[in-house]
Amino acid sequence: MKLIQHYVDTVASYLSSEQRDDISAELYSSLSEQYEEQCEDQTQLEDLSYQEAFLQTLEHPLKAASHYSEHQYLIGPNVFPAYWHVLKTAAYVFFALFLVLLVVDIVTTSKVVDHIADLFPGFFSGMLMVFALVTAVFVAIERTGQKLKWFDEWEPSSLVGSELIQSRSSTVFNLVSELVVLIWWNDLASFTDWLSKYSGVGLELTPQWQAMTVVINLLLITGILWYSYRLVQVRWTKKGVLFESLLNLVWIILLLTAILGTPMFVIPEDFSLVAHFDQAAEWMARTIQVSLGIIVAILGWETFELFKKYQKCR
Amino acid sequence: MDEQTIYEKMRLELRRGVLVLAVLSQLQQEHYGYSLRKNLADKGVDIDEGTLYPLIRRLEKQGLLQSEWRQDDKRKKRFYQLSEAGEQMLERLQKEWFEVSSTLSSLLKGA
Repeated sequence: MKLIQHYVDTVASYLSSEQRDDISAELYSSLSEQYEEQCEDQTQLEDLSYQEAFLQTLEHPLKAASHYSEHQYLIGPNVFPAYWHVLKTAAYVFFALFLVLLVVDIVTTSKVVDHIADLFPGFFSGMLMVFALVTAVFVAIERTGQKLKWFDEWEPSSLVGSELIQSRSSTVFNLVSELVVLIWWNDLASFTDWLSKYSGVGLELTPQWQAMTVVINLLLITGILWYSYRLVQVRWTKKGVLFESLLNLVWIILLLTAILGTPMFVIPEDFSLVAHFDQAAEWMARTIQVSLGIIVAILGWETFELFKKYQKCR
Repeated sequence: MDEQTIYEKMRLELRRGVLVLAVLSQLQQEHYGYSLRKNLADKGVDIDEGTLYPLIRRLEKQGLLQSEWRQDDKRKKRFYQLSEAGEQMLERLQKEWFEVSSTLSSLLKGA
């Protein structure tokens, strides 16, 4: 029964060395008895085509061997929810770190497009590394039978409603927005060239706002650090709500000052000879005012939402 | 997933739960793997090799079965039988099964 022996040998090759001899002896004994029962005479018994037909009714050797393995998975259903949660958090944190590194790189080299292109392969390999590390840790937890304390040590009083669970996508959006503004504010990526190309008019900061450079930078960096911290937080706390509301209020005051009081931008005098200068300048001033107004409205709405959250926080 | 596939999946899950009890009940008498499989099939419990052999190995590892290799009909075979712990386990599981069965019967009749 050559082919049956081959089948058993193949199954055995997928088994651990401790199991191999025992299981293959038992499997061969069982399969050969079954095969003998099906054969009518000695000729059929040695006929390879009969053996082949018999083996075709069995599972693939790898699948047959897999039934003997105790662990059929890398991460089982008991550990998987924690694994998924940690993996998502780690990915978000890595993304935030990548953005911060990107800004630092841009600030120190001032070559935006080249460096973004250079950093992207690193981003994907970094993400793969995060995935591999988190998976390896959880595979070790699964294999060693370690219990996750989270599941055993929890308090019903610490649970909060869905309205107090932080949205990571909105945090990432805020983080990216602050980084873009930081880059733009420090003149590392300029929109004025684009504006002057299409409108014929350039823009520059008014002296009053130029004096605010350090304050605005500090506000933006505080915002970036805050949103990076928020990525690892699951729920809103009273202190967190207060801090973010305060940040929003400072921004609202600054932007309202720019809309109603001291303008943020001025058109340099060199452009006064451009055709339709007055119309272009008016259009630009209105566009800036409307854009800042929209940002104020969004910040106001966010602060109102934070106020509602504050009332719900314990 | 169509209705038949869902039914097959649920039927399999339902039967899988009682396989241990079926195997333990038949191993009050000595059997080797293939004879146990045939015995179960004759009584209406079809179980493939891929499920039966790993199951009896697991039960042996848990100390519920004892086994020995013997020559029988010109072939070396591994014979299994309930150990003392296996007999006690069978008794407890049997009791549990009758309770579950009676509860389910009344539930299903009530439905």
